Amino acid sequence: MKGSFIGELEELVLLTAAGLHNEAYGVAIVAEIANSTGRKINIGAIHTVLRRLEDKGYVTSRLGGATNERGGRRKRIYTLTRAGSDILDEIYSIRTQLYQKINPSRS
Amino acid sequence: MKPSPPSWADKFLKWFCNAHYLEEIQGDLYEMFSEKVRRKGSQYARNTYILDVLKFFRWSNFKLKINLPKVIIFKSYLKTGLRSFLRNKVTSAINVIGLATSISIGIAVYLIVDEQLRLDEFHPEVEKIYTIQSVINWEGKQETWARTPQMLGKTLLNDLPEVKHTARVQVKSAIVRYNDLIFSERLTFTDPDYFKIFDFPLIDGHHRLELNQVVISREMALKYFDKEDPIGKTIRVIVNEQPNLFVVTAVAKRFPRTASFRFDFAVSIDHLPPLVSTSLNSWKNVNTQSLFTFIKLDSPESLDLIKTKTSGYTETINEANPDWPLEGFRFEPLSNTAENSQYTRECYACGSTPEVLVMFAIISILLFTSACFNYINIAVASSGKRLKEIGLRKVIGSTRRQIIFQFLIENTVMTFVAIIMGILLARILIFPGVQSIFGGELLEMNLIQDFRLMAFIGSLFIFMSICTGAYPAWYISSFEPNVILRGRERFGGKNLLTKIFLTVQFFLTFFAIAAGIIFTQANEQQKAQDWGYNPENLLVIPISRTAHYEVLDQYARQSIDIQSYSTSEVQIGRLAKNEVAETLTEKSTVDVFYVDEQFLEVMELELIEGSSFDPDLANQLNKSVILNQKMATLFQSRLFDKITLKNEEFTVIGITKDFHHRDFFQPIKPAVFKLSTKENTRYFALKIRPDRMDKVNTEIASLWQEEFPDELYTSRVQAYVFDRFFSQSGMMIDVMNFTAVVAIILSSMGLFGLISLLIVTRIKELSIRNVLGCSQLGSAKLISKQFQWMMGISVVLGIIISRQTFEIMFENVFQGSDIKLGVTPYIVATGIILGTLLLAIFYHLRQLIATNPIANLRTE
Repeated sequence: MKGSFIGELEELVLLTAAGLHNEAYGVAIVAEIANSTGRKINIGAIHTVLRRLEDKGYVTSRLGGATNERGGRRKRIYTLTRAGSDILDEIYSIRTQLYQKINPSRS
Repeated sequence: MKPSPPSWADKFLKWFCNAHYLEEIQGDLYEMFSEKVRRKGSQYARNTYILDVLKFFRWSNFKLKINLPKVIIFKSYLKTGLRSFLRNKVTSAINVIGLATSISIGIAVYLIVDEQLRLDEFHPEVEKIYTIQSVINWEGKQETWARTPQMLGKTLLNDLPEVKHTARVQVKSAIVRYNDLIFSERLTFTDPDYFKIFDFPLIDGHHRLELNQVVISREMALKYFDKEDPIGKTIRVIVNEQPNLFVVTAVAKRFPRTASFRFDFAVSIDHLPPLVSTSLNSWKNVNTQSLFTFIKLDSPESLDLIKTKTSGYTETINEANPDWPLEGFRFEPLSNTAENSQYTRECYACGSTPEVLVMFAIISILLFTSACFNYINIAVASSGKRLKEIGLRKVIGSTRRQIIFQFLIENTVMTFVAIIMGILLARILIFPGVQSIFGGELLEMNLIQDFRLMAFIGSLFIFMSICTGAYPAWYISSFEPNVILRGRERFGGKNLLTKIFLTVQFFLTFFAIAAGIIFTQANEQQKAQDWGYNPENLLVIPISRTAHYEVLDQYARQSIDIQSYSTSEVQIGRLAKNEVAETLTEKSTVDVFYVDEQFLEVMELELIEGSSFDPDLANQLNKSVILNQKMATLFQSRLFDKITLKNEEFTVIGITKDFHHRDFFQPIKPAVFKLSTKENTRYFALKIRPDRMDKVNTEIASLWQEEFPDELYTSRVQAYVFDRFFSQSGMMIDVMNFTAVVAIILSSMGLFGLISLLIVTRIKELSIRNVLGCSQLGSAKLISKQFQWMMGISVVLGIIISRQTFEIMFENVFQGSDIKLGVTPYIVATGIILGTLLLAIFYHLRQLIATNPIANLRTE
């Protein structure tokens, strides 16, 4: 997995985006992260992170879902690619493996 | 209505944001906005919208993506610039040093001018402070006098509620004594409101200025009390022979640099000599005893009201003073008083004359121009070495704009270095230089707090980079690559503009050299000038009462060192008294000298006609006067004609040659000698045997100490009477010489550099000539041919223009002396220019001969 290093914030955003299914876009992700973790993340940073994830090939994006409160502007909705879900799986399994080493009897 | 985000924030977003991301970002922002409106109201949402916009203000969202090639090219520009800078060390150094010098002088001149323009503006609410001046009809001409009637201030304060404070000021000299220290000092007599109008903070104490209290300056505290605490100490002050005791109640802080008036000793105006203080409550005597008046209003708008009210006083004042018809009062804002002080008779707030400031400005502009021309010339000429680089770049695909940009960048870097050097140079050399010429405090440069100075230096920087960079960059980039690469460019000395610049450069150098020499000559001529009398070995002692007279008279009779002596009411070369003289046909103000019978002989004033006052007949004939030639001509007087002075008729018994009793800035005025009395005598003039001056002076000093222990003994050497003038004109000469030296160095350096470069462009031709056996002299002739027209034109122009300029200047400035401009300055100036030219040519030819011609001729 050399070269596909993923940062903490990137991981968090990627996870949140995956959880939001087809409604993953800037404001929604900020709100979701705030809901589930209590962290207030700068909206500008979220956009940058999403773009970076797209560059790395973990997400794809499309424009759509214009609403009234957005002044008729479309959202950029992000969906996970295969690579994106793979890396989430991998991170999950690495974490679980590591975690299980703390107390092997539990598993 | 639906709340919407502030549109300016949206515009800002649109301005910086990459269009590609704009829709999603703005959409998100709007969504967040409406969320905020729902939760916290539209006001809050609008206020915080910009913060959200700023969250997107990051590099990745910007329109301009980072352009790596541009950064690299920029670096490469700097690198090539630096390389060519280092390769031409001599010319680059000349450039930078020249620019730095002119910058440092520019900074100094800016500081001086700025200070003069801001005089007195540090006083709080300065817009409400006014100086009152009298407009007097003086001999049919309207004149503005700085002095006003004594009563004016108080009357205004009583009559008009708009006048908040008023201060009358009078400055008189007095003798101050503390223990063994006795000095003659200037006392400022004023009202306590002086300290309410003007902001002169105290180190310690109070400034209520009650009777017998004095506020002193820091300098005086040091002078008299040194390390002691001055507060509460008593000093003895003799004003007009009246001894007074004053208690020091306060010491003033250091005065601001921009204070046009300051004080050493401030005391209550009630201490003015009785003659004056009794007239404090009358309108009489506008002239001799009147005072400077300052007022502070409640607001500047009340001025019109006050103007109309004061015009009502004029009649009463004119009734009391028929001699000085007052036409009205002027109210000059304090911030302009010092600036305009040369238009008034006398001044309390005095500034320097605008001519001096203009002269400074012209000098710095000239030097600046000279340095810029140097730079442009050398830049154009030195680009010859870089033609191949430019040709190649054009071939590869550089646009002209890019090449211009490159040269401008290089230029800006160079100018920046020059600015930094200039600032350092100003600190290290120019400021101390200014101080040594003009005295006073060292100029201060506050780069952090003084925004105007920063703006000045900043604009100087921009102006200079554009001025020096624009033409060379345009010129260099204009070459066609095929012309360059075929090596057929017409270049350097054949360019018309270079020729013009070089001619201007020659001219400026010529002018500067000539100016320096002319000024030195003028100074020497003035020093050698005949004063019309013999000031050598004359000691003048001011006295104030008859007791002094008796003591000195007795001493002078006994002493064998004194050849002769005389007494007078004024000293020649200092102030004379003015009186109106009248004949049937003519009326004019003349200088009147009240003297005794021996005066003309002691002064060795030469009589043209008639005789001097006859000591034996003096009593019967004291209705006689002696005129100077100027006056005799003006009044068409002959011997034994009658002339009326102060309503008394006198007979002319003699006419003397003209003599200089004013400095050489002023023309000789009509003057008349009248006999004085023993009681009115104020000066003793002793003609002393050669080399006995010091001895006599010490003897009289100790005699004085014995007889009048409380009073200050002063003596003056008549030969030094114009020292003030000579120090002033010496200042001008110092400035001119300094300018000349800088200009000479600048422009000779420039010429040297330029000639060097022009020779370098012809190096192949010269090498071939050298190989084929052309002599050094022959080559030199060949090169100098290029310059002969420019030299010729600039020398002719230089002679014409400098002659005109200095003739007009001397006629106006030194009205009292006749200065002859010889041909020496022009010969020397031509010589120096020619010398520089030849020096540069031969220096390079020598180098050429010393190197192997092959090194210059091979092409690979």
